[in-house]
Amino acid sequence: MKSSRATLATLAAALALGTLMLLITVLPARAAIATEVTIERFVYDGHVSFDYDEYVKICNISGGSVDLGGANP
Amino acid sequence: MYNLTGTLGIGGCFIIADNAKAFSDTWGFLPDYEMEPTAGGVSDTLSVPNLSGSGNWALNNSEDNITLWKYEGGAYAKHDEIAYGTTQALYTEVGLVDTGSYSITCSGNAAVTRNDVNSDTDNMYVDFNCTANPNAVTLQSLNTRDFALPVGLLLTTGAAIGLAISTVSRLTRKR
Repeated sequence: MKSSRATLATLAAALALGTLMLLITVLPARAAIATEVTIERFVYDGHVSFDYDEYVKICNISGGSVDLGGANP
Repeated sequence: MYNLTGTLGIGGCFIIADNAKAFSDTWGFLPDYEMEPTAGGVSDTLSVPNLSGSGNWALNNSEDNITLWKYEGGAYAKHDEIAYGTTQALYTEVGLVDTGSYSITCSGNAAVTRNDVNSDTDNMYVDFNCTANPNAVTLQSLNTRDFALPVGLLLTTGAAIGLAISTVSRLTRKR
């Protein structure tokens, strides 16, 4: 009987620890998905003598591919 | 306002230049898209797709905004934004409570660059900083990601893989 209780207690502790570890694992991942596509660089005037070389660099920082035009109205 | 199309793969980046020839003359390679194909009186660089949209991209460098819009819930919302200029520009990125006047100012030639390329805090001052005189930066000194080739950008084979999000991102630039 004592052995069964000890086993149950061990299982409960392991389950609680597992849940905690799952939360620790999942929460940062969810936060990282909050923004999918970001502006990384905006060079506004790289070459004064010919003023059309400005550029914007855009990157996907999510954990998956992003369809940029999937819901174009 | 300009429409972005295609699929952007994991960690993928792409470059939108004002004019492809001018960009190539400065940086030594062609961009992924151009917005003003004949700016400066040059011929259109046919190998570089023109981004669909409209707007005047001539700069006076006193107030320049770049805004990335996301279409969700039936409306456009700001997704990411840079406000640059000696004239204060309204900065109202999603998630930023205070919508006062903000801008990053740089002196001379400059780039506004994201500090942590894997983070977006929705606070422009945290996310971006000035890099002075980008013309002095050689391609060799830039890290790989700075000018990585686009990953999956031109894949137009239907649904995106992995985390497929149905979005419309739009790019605007305001003088």
